[in-house]
Amino acid sequence: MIRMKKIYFLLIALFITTSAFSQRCDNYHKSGDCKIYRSDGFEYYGQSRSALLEIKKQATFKAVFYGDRDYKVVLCTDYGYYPIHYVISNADTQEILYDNSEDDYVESVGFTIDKTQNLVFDITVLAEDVKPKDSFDLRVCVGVNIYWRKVPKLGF
Amino acid sequence: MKMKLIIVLGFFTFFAFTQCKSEKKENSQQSTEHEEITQAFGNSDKVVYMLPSPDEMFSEIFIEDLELKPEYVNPVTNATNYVDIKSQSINLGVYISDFAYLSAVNDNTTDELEYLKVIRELMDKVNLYGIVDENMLDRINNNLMVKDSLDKISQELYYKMSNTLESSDRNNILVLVSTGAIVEALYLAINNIDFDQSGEIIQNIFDQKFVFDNYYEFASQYKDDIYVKTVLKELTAIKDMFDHLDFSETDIEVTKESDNDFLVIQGGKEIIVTEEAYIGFRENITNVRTLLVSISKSIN
Repeated sequence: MIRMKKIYFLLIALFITTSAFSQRCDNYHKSGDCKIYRSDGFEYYGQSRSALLEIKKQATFKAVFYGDRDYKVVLCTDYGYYPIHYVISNADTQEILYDNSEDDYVESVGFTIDKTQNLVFDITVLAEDVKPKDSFDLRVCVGVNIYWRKVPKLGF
Repeated sequence: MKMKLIIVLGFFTFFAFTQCKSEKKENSQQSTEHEEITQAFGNSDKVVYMLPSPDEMFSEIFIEDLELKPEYVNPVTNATNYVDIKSQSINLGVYISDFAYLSAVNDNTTDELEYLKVIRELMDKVNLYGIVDENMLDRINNNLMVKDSLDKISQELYYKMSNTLESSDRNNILVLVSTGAIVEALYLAINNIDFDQSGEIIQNIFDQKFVFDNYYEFASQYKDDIYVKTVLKELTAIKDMFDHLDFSETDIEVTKESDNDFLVIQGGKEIIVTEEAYIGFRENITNVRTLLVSISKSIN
Protein backbone atom coordinates (compact mmCIF):
# COMPACT_ATOMS: atom_id res chain seq x y z
CA MET A 1 0.00 0.00 0.00
CA ILE A 2 2.83 2.41 0.97
CA ARG A 3 4.63 1.45 -2.23
CA MET A 4 1.50 2.29 -4.20
CA LYS A 5 1.29 5.70 -2.53
CA LYS A 6 4.93 6.39 -3.39
CA ILE A 7 4.28 5.53 -7.03
CA TYR A 8 1.20 7.81 -7.15
CA PHE A 9 3.24 10.60 -5.54
CA LEU A 10 6.04 10.24 -8.09
CA LEU A 11 3.58 10.21 -10.97
CA ILE A 12 1.81 13.33 -9.73
CA ALA A 13 5.18 15.07 -9.29
CA LEU A 14 6.08 14.09 -12.87
CA PHE A 15 2.77 15.52 -14.09
CA ILE A 16 3.27 18.84 -12.32
CA THR A 17 6.89 19.22 -13.49
CA THR A 18 6.14 18.54 -17.15
CA SER A 19 3.21 20.93 -17.09
CA ALA A 20 5.33 23.63 -15.53
CA PHE A 21 7.99 23.34 -18.23
CA SER A 22 5.42 23.79 -20.94
CA GLN A 23 4.48 27.24 -19.63
CA ARG A 24 5.72 30.31 -21.50
CA CYS A 25 6.28 33.95 -20.63
CA ASP A 26 2.77 35.14 -21.51
CA ASN A 27 1.46 37.50 -18.83
CA TYR A 28 4.61 36.97 -16.77
CA HIS A 29 4.49 40.70 -15.95
CA LYS A 30 1.22 40.12 -14.12
CA SER A 31 2.90 37.69 -11.73
CA GLY A 32 4.25 38.13 -8.18
CA ASP A 33 7.45 40.18 -8.33
CA CYS A 34 6.06 42.58 -10.92
CA LYS A 35 3.02 43.62 -8.90
CA ILE A 36 2.74 46.67 -6.74
CA TYR A 37 0.82 46.12 -3.56
CA ARG A 38 -0.16 49.70 -2.70
CA SER A 39 -2.00 51.15 -5.65
CA ASP A 40 -2.18 54.81 -4.48
CA GLY A 41 -4.45 55.55 -7.40
CA PHE A 42 -2.14 53.91 -9.95
CA GLU A 43 -3.77 51.88 -12.70
CA TYR A 44 -2.39 49.16 -14.90
CA TYR A 45 -1.01 50.54 -18.19
CA GLY A 46 -1.79 48.30 -21.16
CA GLN A 47 1.67 48.69 -22.66
CA SER A 48 3.12 46.44 -19.95
CA ARG A 49 4.78 43.42 -21.42
CA SER A 50 6.67 40.14 -20.98
CA ALA A 51 9.37 38.54 -23.10
CA LEU A 52 11.83 35.70 -23.10
CA LEU A 53 15.32 37.20 -22.96
CA GLU A 54 18.84 35.84 -23.11
CA ILE A 55 20.82 36.65 -20.02
CA LYS A 56 23.61 39.24 -20.32
CA LYS A 57 22.22 40.41 -23.67
CA GLN A 58 20.64 43.85 -24.05
CA ALA A 59 17.02 44.14 -25.13
CA THR A 60 15.25 47.34 -26.12
CA PHE A 61 11.68 48.36 -25.42
CA LYS A 62 10.08 51.61 -26.57
CA ALA A 63 6.81 53.14 -25.41
CA VAL A 64 4.94 56.44 -25.26
CA PHE A 65 4.65 58.05 -21.85
CA TYR A 66 2.05 60.80 -21.70
CA GLY A 67 2.65 64.14 -20.04
CA ASP A 68 1.17 65.16 -16.66
CA ARG A 69 1.23 61.56 -15.51
CA ASP A 70 2.94 59.65 -12.73
CA TYR A 71 4.35 56.27 -13.69
CA LYS A 72 5.70 53.30 -11.81
CA VAL A 73 7.67 50.76 -13.80
CA VAL A 74 8.49 47.40 -12.22
CA LEU A 75 10.81 44.83 -13.80
CA CYS A 76 10.85 41.22 -12.73
CA THR A 77 12.44 37.91 -13.63
CA ASP A 78 12.89 34.46 -12.10
CA TYR A 79 14.53 34.00 -8.73
CA GLY A 80 18.29 33.56 -9.19
CA TYR A 81 18.47 35.65 -12.37
CA TYR A 82 18.59 39.06 -10.69
CA PRO A 83 19.85 41.76 -10.89
CA ILE A 84 18.29 43.39 -13.93
CA HIS A 85 20.08 46.41 -15.32
CA TYR A 86 18.00 49.01 -17.14
CA VAL A 87 18.66 52.40 -18.59
CA ILE A 88 15.87 54.82 -19.52
CA SER A 89 16.52 57.36 -22.25
CA ASN A 90 14.61 59.81 -24.40
CA ALA A 91 14.05 58.32 -27.87
CA ASP A 92 14.55 61.61 -29.72
CA THR A 93 17.59 63.00 -28.00
CA GLN A 94 19.01 59.68 -26.71
CA GLU A 95 19.65 61.51 -23.47
CA ILE A 96 19.94 59.12 -20.51
CA LEU A 97 17.32 59.93 -17.89
CA TYR A 98 17.92 57.13 -15.42
CA ASP A 99 20.29 54.22 -14.89
CA ASN A 100 19.36 51.80 -12.12
CA SER A 101 23.00 50.77 -11.62
CA GLU A 102 23.27 54.02 -9.65
CA ASP A 103 20.63 52.71 -7.26
CA ASP A 104 21.99 49.18 -6.69
CA TYR A 105 19.93 47.78 -9.57
CA VAL A 106 16.62 48.53 -7.88
CA GLU A 107 13.84 46.75 -9.81
CA SER A 108 11.30 49.55 -9.84
CA VAL A 109 11.31 53.23 -10.63
CA GLY A 110 8.69 55.92 -10.25
CA PHE A 111 8.64 59.12 -12.25
CA THR A 112 6.52 62.12 -13.08
CA ILE A 113 6.65 63.39 -16.61
CA ASP A 114 5.39 66.80 -17.72
CA LYS A 115 5.56 66.43 -21.52
CA THR A 116 4.60 63.45 -23.64
CA GLN A 117 7.63 61.61 -24.96
CA ASN A 118 8.85 58.31 -26.29
CA LEU A 119 11.08 56.58 -23.78
CA VAL A 120 13.49 53.76 -24.51
CA PHE A 121 14.25 51.05 -21.94
CA ASP A 122 17.50 49.16 -22.51
CA ILE A 123 17.23 46.04 -20.39
CA THR A 124 19.89 43.47 -19.53
CA VAL A 125 19.37 40.50 -17.23
CA LEU A 126 22.72 40.38 -15.45
CA ALA A 127 22.05 37.09 -13.64
CA GLU A 128 25.26 37.48 -11.67
CA ASP A 129 24.91 34.16 -9.87
CA VAL A 130 24.23 32.16 -13.02
CA LYS A 131 27.26 30.52 -14.60
CA PRO A 132 26.82 29.22 -18.14
CA LYS A 133 28.10 25.77 -17.18
CA ASP A 134 25.69 25.26 -14.30
CA SER A 135 22.64 27.03 -15.62
CA PHE A 136 19.70 25.04 -16.86
CA ASP A 137 18.78 27.64 -19.40
CA LEU A 138 20.33 30.92 -20.46
CA ARG A 139 16.95 32.35 -21.38
CA VAL A 140 14.55 33.67 -18.83
CA CYS A 141 11.18 35.42 -18.68
CA VAL A 142 11.29 39.12 -17.97
CA GLY A 143 8.26 41.25 -17.18
CA VAL A 144 7.95 45.00 -17.51
CA ASN A 145 4.89 46.14 -15.63
CA ILE A 146 3.81 49.76 -15.97
CA TYR A 147 1.32 51.61 -13.79
CA TRP A 148 0.06 55.16 -14.32
CA ARG A 149 -2.09 57.83 -12.78
CA LYS A 150 -2.92 61.44 -13.53
CA VAL A 151 -0.70 63.83 -11.62
CA PRO A 152 -2.73 64.65 -8.49
CA LYS A 153 -3.68 68.31 -8.19
CA LEU A 154 -2.11 70.15 -5.30
CA GLY A 155 -3.93 72.58 -3.01
CA PHE A 156 -7.53 72.98 -1.93
CA MET B 1 -4.96 -3.61 -7.17
CA LYS B 2 -2.35 -4.51 -9.80
CA MET B 3 -4.88 -3.81 -12.50
CA LYS B 4 -5.47 -0.34 -11.04
CA LEU B 5 -1.73 0.30 -10.97
CA ILE B 6 -1.38 -0.81 -14.60
CA ILE B 7 -4.20 1.52 -15.65
CA VAL B 8 -2.68 4.48 -13.80
CA LEU B 9 0.80 3.70 -15.15
CA GLY B 10 -0.65 3.33 -18.63
CA PHE B 11 -2.34 6.71 -18.36
CA PHE B 12 0.79 8.47 -17.20
CA THR B 13 2.99 6.72 -19.78
CA PHE B 14 0.56 7.86 -22.46
CA PHE B 15 0.54 11.34 -20.96
CA ALA B 16 4.35 11.43 -20.78
CA PHE B 17 4.62 10.54 -24.46
CA THR B 18 2.00 13.00 -25.60
CA GLN B 19 3.62 15.60 -23.38
CA CYS B 20 6.97 14.86 -25.05
CA LYS B 21 5.33 15.36 -28.40
CA SER B 22 3.59 18.55 -27.46
CA GLU B 23 6.70 19.68 -25.63
CA LYS B 24 8.62 19.12 -28.85
CA LYS B 25 6.00 21.12 -30.69
CA GLU B 26 6.07 23.66 -27.91
CA ASN B 27 9.85 23.76 -28.14
CA SER B 28 9.79 24.35 -31.85
CA GLN B 29 7.10 26.97 -31.35
CA GLN B 30 9.16 28.46 -28.58
CA SER B 31 12.27 28.44 -30.68
CA THR B 32 10.40 30.26 -33.46
CA GLU B 33 9.17 32.66 -30.87
CA HIS B 34 12.64 32.90 -29.46
CA GLU B 35 14.05 33.66 -32.89
CA GLU B 36 11.41 36.33 -33.21
CA ILE B 37 12.28 37.74 -29.82
CA THR B 38 16.02 37.59 -30.41
CA GLN B 39 15.34 39.27 -33.69
CA ALA B 40 13.39 41.92 -31.89
CA PHE B 41 15.60 42.23 -28.85
CA GLY B 42 19.01 40.90 -29.87
CA ASN B 43 19.74 43.11 -32.84
CA SER B 44 20.52 46.66 -32.07
CA ASP B 45 18.41 47.83 -35.02
CA LYS B 46 15.31 45.94 -33.83
CA VAL B 47 13.25 47.35 -31.02
CA VAL B 48 10.03 46.23 -29.35
CA TYR B 49 7.43 48.93 -29.89
CA MET B 50 4.54 49.21 -27.51
CA LEU B 51 1.37 50.80 -28.82
CA PRO B 52 -1.50 51.92 -26.61
CA SER B 53 -4.92 50.46 -27.24
CA PRO B 54 -7.57 52.78 -28.80
CA ASP B 55 -9.41 53.14 -25.48
CA GLU B 56 -6.16 54.25 -23.82
CA MET B 57 -5.71 56.84 -26.58
CA PHE B 58 -9.28 58.10 -26.11
CA SER B 59 -8.93 58.28 -22.33
CA GLU B 60 -5.76 60.31 -22.83
CA ILE B 61 -7.41 62.67 -25.33
CA PHE B 62 -10.85 63.20 -23.83
CA ILE B 63 -9.87 64.38 -20.39
CA GLU B 64 -13.17 66.16 -19.85
CA ASP B 65 -16.71 65.04 -20.55
CA LEU B 66 -17.54 65.82 -24.15
CA GLU B 67 -20.47 64.98 -26.27
CA LEU B 68 -19.12 62.30 -28.55
CA LYS B 69 -20.32 61.97 -32.13
CA PRO B 70 -21.20 58.35 -32.92
CA GLU B 71 -22.29 59.36 -36.45
CA TYR B 72 -18.61 59.36 -37.45
CA VAL B 73 -17.97 55.64 -36.85
CA ASN B 74 -17.80 53.21 -39.76
CA PRO B 75 -21.28 51.65 -40.17
CA VAL B 76 -21.44 47.93 -39.36
CA THR B 77 -23.19 47.36 -42.67
CA ASN B 78 -19.90 48.03 -44.49
CA ALA B 79 -18.25 44.98 -42.91
CA THR B 80 -19.56 42.43 -45.42
CA ASN B 81 -18.00 44.39 -48.26
CA TYR B 82 -14.44 43.82 -47.08
CA VAL B 83 -13.48 40.71 -49.00
CA ASP B 84 -9.68 40.63 -49.07
CA ILE B 85 -7.40 39.98 -46.11
CA LYS B 86 -5.91 43.46 -46.26
CA SER B 87 -9.15 45.40 -46.03
CA GLN B 88 -10.53 42.90 -43.51
CA SER B 89 -7.51 43.38 -41.23
CA ILE B 90 -7.45 47.17 -41.57
CA ASN B 91 -11.16 47.47 -40.91
CA LEU B 92 -10.92 45.08 -37.99
CA GLY B 93 -8.70 47.77 -36.44
CA VAL B 94 -11.18 50.47 -37.50
CA TYR B 95 -14.06 48.65 -35.79
CA ILE B 96 -11.99 48.04 -32.65
CA SER B 97 -11.48 51.82 -32.38
CA ASP B 98 -15.17 52.39 -33.12
CA PHE B 99 -16.07 49.97 -30.34
CA ALA B 100 -13.75 51.79 -27.91
CA TYR B 101 -15.25 55.14 -28.94
CA LEU B 102 -18.85 53.94 -28.62
CA SER B 103 -18.02 52.44 -25.22
CA ALA B 104 -17.08 55.93 -24.06
CA VAL B 105 -20.50 57.30 -25.04
CA ASN B 106 -22.93 57.26 -22.16
CA ASP B 107 -26.11 56.26 -23.94
CA ASN B 108 -28.77 53.63 -23.72
CA THR B 109 -28.14 51.94 -27.04
CA THR B 110 -26.75 48.50 -27.77
CA ASP B 111 -24.53 49.59 -30.66
CA GLU B 112 -21.46 48.26 -28.85
CA LEU B 113 -22.79 44.70 -29.16
CA GLU B 114 -23.32 45.11 -32.90
CA TYR B 115 -19.75 46.33 -33.27
CA LEU B 116 -18.42 43.49 -31.19
CA LYS B 117 -20.22 40.98 -33.40
CA VAL B 118 -18.66 42.55 -36.49
CA ILE B 119 -15.24 42.45 -34.81
CA ARG B 120 -15.74 38.75 -34.15
CA GLU B 121 -16.73 38.09 -37.76
CA LEU B 122 -13.71 39.94 -39.11
CA MET B 123 -11.43 38.19 -36.61
CA ASP B 124 -12.69 34.83 -37.87
CA LYS B 125 -12.01 35.94 -41.43
CA VAL B 126 -8.39 36.74 -40.62
CA ASN B 127 -8.00 33.48 -38.67
CA LEU B 128 -8.14 34.93 -35.18
CA TYR B 129 -10.47 32.59 -33.38
CA GLY B 130 -11.70 32.59 -29.82
CA ILE B 131 -10.76 36.14 -28.80
CA VAL B 132 -14.34 37.37 -28.76
CA ASP B 133 -16.16 34.47 -27.17
CA GLU B 134 -19.66 34.07 -25.75
CA ASN B 135 -18.31 34.96 -22.33
CA MET B 136 -17.09 38.33 -23.60
CA LEU B 137 -20.41 39.02 -25.35
CA ASP B 138 -22.22 38.23 -22.10
CA ARG B 139 -19.90 40.55 -20.18
CA ILE B 140 -20.64 43.34 -22.66
CA ASN B 141 -24.35 42.67 -22.39
CA ASN B 142 -24.18 42.90 -18.61
CA ASN B 143 -22.07 46.04 -18.64
CA LEU B 144 -23.66 48.07 -21.43
CA MET B 145 -24.24 50.97 -19.08
CA VAL B 146 -20.94 50.72 -17.21
CA LYS B 147 -18.39 52.77 -19.13
CA ASP B 148 -15.34 51.66 -17.10
CA SER B 149 -16.11 47.99 -17.60
CA LEU B 150 -16.56 48.46 -21.33
CA ASP B 151 -13.21 50.29 -21.47
CA LYS B 152 -11.55 47.36 -19.73
CA ILE B 153 -13.14 44.86 -22.12
CA SER B 154 -12.07 46.95 -25.10
CA GLN B 155 -8.48 47.11 -23.82
CA GLU B 156 -8.44 43.38 -23.08
CA LEU B 157 -9.69 42.65 -26.59
CA TYR B 158 -6.99 44.76 -28.23
CA TYR B 159 -4.08 43.36 -26.25
CA LYS B 160 -5.30 39.77 -26.54
CA MET B 161 -5.43 40.21 -30.31
CA SER B 162 -1.97 41.82 -30.52
CA ASN B 163 -0.42 39.08 -28.38
CA THR B 164 -2.00 36.37 -30.50
CA LEU B 165 -0.76 37.92 -33.73
CA GLU B 166 2.72 38.52 -32.36
CA SER B 167 3.17 35.08 -30.91
CA SER B 168 1.97 33.44 -34.12
CA ASP B 169 4.48 35.47 -36.14
CA ARG B 170 1.79 37.42 -38.03
CA ASN B 171 3.20 40.86 -37.43
CA ASN B 172 2.22 41.98 -40.94
CA ILE B 173 -1.44 41.46 -40.02
CA LEU B 174 -0.83 43.23 -36.70
CA VAL B 175 0.53 46.21 -38.65
CA LEU B 176 -2.65 46.32 -40.76
CA VAL B 177 -4.96 46.08 -37.75
CA SER B 178 -2.93 48.74 -35.90
CA THR B 179 -3.13 50.99 -38.98
CA GLY B 180 -6.92 50.85 -38.97
CA ALA B 181 -7.09 51.31 -35.20
CA ILE B 182 -4.78 54.31 -35.01
CA VAL B 183 -6.15 56.13 -38.06
CA GLU B 184 -9.74 55.63 -36.89
CA ALA B 185 -8.92 56.79 -33.36
CA LEU B 186 -7.29 59.98 -34.69
CA TYR B 187 -10.13 60.52 -37.16
CA LEU B 188 -12.83 60.22 -34.47
CA ALA B 189 -10.88 62.40 -32.07
CA ILE B 190 -10.19 65.28 -34.47
CA ASN B 191 -13.75 65.27 -35.82
CA ASN B 192 -15.09 65.44 -32.30
CA ILE B 193 -13.80 68.89 -31.61
CA ASP B 194 -13.50 72.30 -33.25
CA PHE B 195 -10.29 74.29 -33.03
CA ASP B 196 -11.67 76.90 -30.66
CA GLN B 197 -13.40 74.39 -28.36
CA SER B 198 -10.71 73.10 -26.00
CA GLY B 199 -7.02 73.82 -26.38
CA GLU B 200 -5.98 71.06 -24.02
CA ILE B 201 -7.89 68.36 -25.87
CA ILE B 202 -6.48 69.48 -29.21
CA GLN B 203 -2.98 69.44 -27.71
CA ASN B 204 -3.66 65.87 -26.52
CA ILE B 205 -4.76 64.87 -30.02
CA PHE B 206 -1.54 66.27 -31.50
CA ASP B 207 0.47 64.47 -28.79
CA GLN B 208 -0.65 61.23 -30.43
CA LYS B 209 2.11 62.04 -32.93
CA PHE B 210 4.44 60.16 -30.55
CA VAL B 211 2.19 57.09 -30.76
CA PHE B 212 2.06 57.43 -34.55
CA ASP B 213 5.88 57.68 -34.71
CA ASN B 214 6.21 54.46 -32.73
CA TYR B 215 3.59 52.75 -34.84
CA TYR B 216 5.30 53.89 -38.07
CA GLU B 217 8.72 52.65 -36.94
CA PHE B 218 7.17 49.34 -35.91
CA ALA B 219 5.37 49.02 -39.26
CA SER B 220 8.54 49.89 -41.19
CA GLN B 221 10.20 46.76 -39.77
CA TYR B 222 7.84 44.79 -42.03
CA LYS B 223 7.99 47.04 -45.08
CA ASP B 224 9.03 44.13 -47.31
CA ASP B 225 5.58 42.66 -46.86
CA ILE B 226 3.41 43.69 -49.81
CA TYR B 227 0.42 44.68 -47.65
CA VAL B 228 2.53 46.71 -45.25
CA LYS B 229 4.37 48.38 -48.11
CA THR B 230 1.16 49.68 -49.68
CA VAL B 231 -0.28 50.78 -46.34
CA LEU B 232 2.86 52.73 -45.48
CA LYS B 233 2.60 54.46 -48.84
CA GLU B 234 -0.97 55.47 -48.08
CA LEU B 235 0.06 56.91 -44.74
CA THR B 236 2.70 59.21 -46.22
CA ALA B 237 0.40 62.23 -45.98
CA ILE B 238 -0.07 61.75 -42.23
CA LYS B 239 3.61 61.04 -41.68
CA ASP B 240 4.62 64.21 -43.57
CA MET B 241 2.06 66.26 -41.71
CA PHE B 242 3.39 65.07 -38.34
CA ASP B 243 7.01 65.52 -39.41
CA HIS B 244 6.41 69.14 -40.37
CA LEU B 245 4.78 70.29 -37.15
CA ASP B 246 6.46 73.08 -35.22
CA PHE B 247 7.85 72.41 -31.78
CA SER B 248 9.00 74.37 -28.82
CA GLU B 249 11.85 72.59 -27.11
CA THR B 250 13.38 72.88 -23.68
CA ASP B 251 16.26 70.94 -22.14
CA ILE B 252 15.22 67.84 -20.27
CA GLU B 253 15.97 67.98 -16.56
CA VAL B 254 15.71 65.08 -14.17
CA THR B 255 15.48 65.68 -10.45
CA LYS B 256 14.66 63.39 -7.55
CA GLU B 257 11.88 64.16 -5.07
CA SER B 258 13.49 64.00 -1.66
CA ASP B 259 10.60 62.37 0.18
CA ASN B 260 9.70 59.45 -2.05
CA ASP B 261 12.52 58.82 -4.57
CA PHE B 262 10.21 59.77 -7.42
CA LEU B 263 12.02 61.17 -10.45
CA VAL B 264 10.68 64.36 -11.95
CA ILE B 265 11.31 64.55 -15.68
CA GLN B 266 10.73 68.04 -17.00
CA GLY B 267 11.18 69.50 -20.43
CA GLY B 268 11.39 68.06 -23.90
CA LYS B 269 9.43 68.77 -27.05
CA GLU B 270 6.00 70.36 -27.15
CA ILE B 271 4.01 70.61 -30.37
CA ILE B 272 2.84 74.11 -31.28
CA VAL B 273 -0.76 73.75 -32.37
CA THR B 274 -2.04 76.39 -34.77
CA GLU B 275 -5.36 76.56 -36.58
CA GLU B 276 -3.55 75.82 -39.83
CA ALA B 277 -1.97 72.69 -38.30
CA TYR B 278 -5.39 71.65 -36.97
CA ILE B 279 -7.03 72.00 -40.40
CA GLY B 280 -4.16 70.14 -42.08
CA PHE B 281 -4.42 67.33 -39.52
CA ARG B 282 -8.19 67.05 -40.01
CA GLU B 283 -7.93 67.00 -43.80
CA ASN B 284 -5.12 64.47 -44.00
CA ILE B 285 -6.56 62.08 -41.47
CA THR B 286 -10.03 62.27 -43.07
CA ASN B 287 -8.64 61.54 -46.54
CA VAL B 288 -6.63 58.54 -45.39
CA ARG B 289 -9.46 57.20 -43.27
CA THR B 290 -11.91 57.51 -46.18
CA LEU B 291 -9.51 55.49 -48.28
CA LEU B 292 -9.13 52.79 -45.64
CA VAL B 293 -12.83 52.22 -45.06
CA SER B 294 -13.86 52.49 -48.70
CA ILE B 295 -14.77 49.16 -50.15
CA SER B 296 -11.70 47.09 -51.07
CA LYS B 297 -10.70 49.25 -53.99
CA SER B 298 -8.59 51.16 -51.47
CA ILE B 299 -4.83 50.83 -51.14
CA ASN B 300 -4.34 48.19 -53.79
